Amino acid sequence: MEEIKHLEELARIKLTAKERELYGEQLSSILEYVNKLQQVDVEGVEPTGHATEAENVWREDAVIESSDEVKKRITENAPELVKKLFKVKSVFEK
Amino acid sequence: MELNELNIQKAHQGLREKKFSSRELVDACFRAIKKKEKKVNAFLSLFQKEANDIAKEADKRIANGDELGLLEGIPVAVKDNMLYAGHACTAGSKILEKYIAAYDATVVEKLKESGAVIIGKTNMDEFAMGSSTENSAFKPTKNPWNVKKVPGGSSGGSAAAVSADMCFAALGSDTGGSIRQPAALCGTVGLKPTYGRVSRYGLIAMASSLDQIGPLTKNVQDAAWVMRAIEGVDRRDSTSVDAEPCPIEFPEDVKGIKIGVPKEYFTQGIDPEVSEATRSAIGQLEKLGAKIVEVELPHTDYGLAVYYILMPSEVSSNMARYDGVRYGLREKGKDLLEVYMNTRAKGLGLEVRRRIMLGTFALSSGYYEAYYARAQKVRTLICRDFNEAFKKVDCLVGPTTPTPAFDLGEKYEDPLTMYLSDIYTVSINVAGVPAISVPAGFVRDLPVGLQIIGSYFSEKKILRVANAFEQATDHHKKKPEI
Repeated sequence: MEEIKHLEELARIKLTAKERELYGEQLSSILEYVNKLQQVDVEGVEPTGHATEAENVWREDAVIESSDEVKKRITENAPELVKKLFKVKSVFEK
Repeated sequence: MELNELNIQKAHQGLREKKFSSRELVDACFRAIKKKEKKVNAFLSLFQKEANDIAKEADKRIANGDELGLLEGIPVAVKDNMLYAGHACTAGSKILEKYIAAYDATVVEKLKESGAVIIGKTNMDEFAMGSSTENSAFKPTKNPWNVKKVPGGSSGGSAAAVSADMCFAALGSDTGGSIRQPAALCGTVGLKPTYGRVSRYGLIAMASSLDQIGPLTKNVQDAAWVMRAIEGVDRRDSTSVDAEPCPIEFPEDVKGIKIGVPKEYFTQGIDPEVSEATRSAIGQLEKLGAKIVEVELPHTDYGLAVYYILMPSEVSSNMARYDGVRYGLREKGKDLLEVYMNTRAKGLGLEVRRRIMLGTFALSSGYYEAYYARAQKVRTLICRDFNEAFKKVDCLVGPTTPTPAFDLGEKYEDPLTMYLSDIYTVSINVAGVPAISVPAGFVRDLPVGLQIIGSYFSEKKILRVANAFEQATDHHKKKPEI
């Protein structure tokens, strides 16, 4: 249960007491299932992040201007806007 | 036969010969929607008026004798996790209920370029997390073959819409089976391309190293046509690859093709009748001249476990953007931290939060090595299994799902049981190879799929095998009565 509370903070999700209990049980049973990976011999095996051989793709660091319509749509999606700026709670305490 | 029951090729031909107009195709689809959608719930939004206008433009081009796109005037649907500029894009989530796409996803841009008429956005499990479309925050989609059954997921809306002839084709996304599993359960064709063949720009990310967009269609030929329209390298997705394009026509036989049957695919909790239907489909391929051999994929049993560590880890990272700052829902709180915590508690559903918690755990200090890092190493072993198999055979076949469609509500309360319905599809995403599901027959009056898996960028081969199988059978011609 302490573990779940710690995860809530890391994940930035508030749970109810009931959800905490439900997730506690469910996450345990999922982890029990995935623990079968401990049986696999991975000695000397390199990890795979992307299955296809990904290479770095380079481009000029150039500004590609969006149209006014796109800009308007982006700002219109904001929960709270002051002029063209997103309004949020203060990050630093006064 | 109603016009909406045609396949893409037949509709294309009819449009060229001016037997009917694109506008008539759109009307036929909307008549079907009016009749069936209340029972099926395949769509989250519909754009009838706009579709009519786009169809009229296509009809003008046809009348003028202009060069026509591959999907000119064809009504299609798009899963609601791909951006269509100026239209709602919810990803099936409350947190994006009011979100309007600011720009087009590359696949949407390409659909437009090919002349397709987008008629609506389809229902899905929230942020594509689920195997039944019951995790949609808005409504569950029903299987057109039996409305008490799930359509599969997460692209359940796309599969149901195609199956019920409410559109000619639909786009889906597939992270662990989300195109192939619903295609199998709804009796349609579904293709998950090689990772990198289709640009993910404008696809709402779930697990970025696994996600891939692909078509759900009425037959294999149509899947190839839609692929040709949407594939290609894109500078806006640096994981997209400049590969040889998918063919749009292929030889009709499979003579001399070597097909491997992984013995591990018939052991884990498979429904005996599904096993029988799959065996009989394999027998059919043998009759058509393919050489069938048994192969081993020794790490199959670990595929789902690898997936359920890597996927939630990537999910927990990708979902961090839903913080109530720039878009989406925002809940009140006394400080910024509380705004985050409350917004995500209110806006994200049970399964999404469960996966974020699981991924956060797997990546957290003290557990990272044992879970995430280890899963990435086992991923290497799974890739090796496939590479070894493809040294011996041209492609692999097996069942797409262990059972036909299950009851609504049957697995909803038990996440692990739900996850097991993806047992045959997840390893393909883990390895990044392409796979297609084609209708393989019926079990207790419900469709089941045959999964054909290829090596990297060998869509040409799996489409050929799928097409030959389809031509020799008539499972894909049966339609649900709804």
